[in-house]
Amino acid sequence: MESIILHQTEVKPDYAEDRELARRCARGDERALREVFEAHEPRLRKLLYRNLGSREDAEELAATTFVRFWRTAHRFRGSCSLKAYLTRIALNLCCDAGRRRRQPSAFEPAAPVEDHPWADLIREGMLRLDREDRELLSLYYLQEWDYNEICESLGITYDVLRTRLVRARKRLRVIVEEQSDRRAV
Amino acid sequence: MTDEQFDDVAREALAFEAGPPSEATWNRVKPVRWTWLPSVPEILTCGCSGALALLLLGLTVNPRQEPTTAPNPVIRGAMHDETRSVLASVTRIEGAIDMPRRVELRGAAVRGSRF
Repeated sequence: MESIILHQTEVKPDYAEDRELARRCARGDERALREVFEAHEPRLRKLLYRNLGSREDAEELAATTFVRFWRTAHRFRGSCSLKAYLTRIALNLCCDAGRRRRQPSAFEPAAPVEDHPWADLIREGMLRLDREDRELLSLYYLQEWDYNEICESLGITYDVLRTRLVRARKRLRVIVEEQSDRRAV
Repeated sequence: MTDEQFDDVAREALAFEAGPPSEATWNRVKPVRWTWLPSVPEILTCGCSGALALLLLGLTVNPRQEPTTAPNPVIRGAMHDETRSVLASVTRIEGAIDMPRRVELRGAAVRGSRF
């Protein structure tokens, strides 16, 4: 098996705190929504940016994610973490937006930093992957989701996750290496 | 490049500081409610208490009266005391009706059938 480092926990955690937050949101408690928003918005925005390539779209979809959560908070039963639940909403929205747009846009220019020569190719390559691979690798590489949360967000098992990660990484490498060779010529 | 090295490069390439959530984004998320409009629970509470108050008022002011079964004496006279199966109706009223304070029924046109 090719190397994929995933940290597996033994016991599935109890999401009592998340359930309570969702219950308060369902009752119309605006402060609870603010808590959820402040805890999860930055990482969802990052994830959406890595999937869409546009900061503006990422910010808009992150906001829509919380609006949708506010409307459907009563459906949250606590079978997964709130983080995974919100991630699933965000990725569904991202998928809808992708369908409307067909092609993901190129990444907006980032602040100049000292990057590995492949860094740009990886960023561009991510947008050329198909949606499933892109979602999976952005969750994996952003390092803000543990294996359990990735499984819950995507609705897959641990074994499927490992297999799909290896496959997705291989596809990304192929794209990056092709681009790198093209530049070298 | 090994897979581990590739992963490290990818992590660095994709990492960026998102910064705290902006107030502008929160304003788009924040539930908007017109404060002068009552909420659904408020409407239900007001409606139920109003209905209860009207019911109590109605019972106090106009308590339910048992329907009388005593026959009208004028009709009874016209039917020679046989009023068990009388079907009576006012069919036509002509001219203006000037109702006195107390109306006394002096006579009635009765059409009935005896069984």
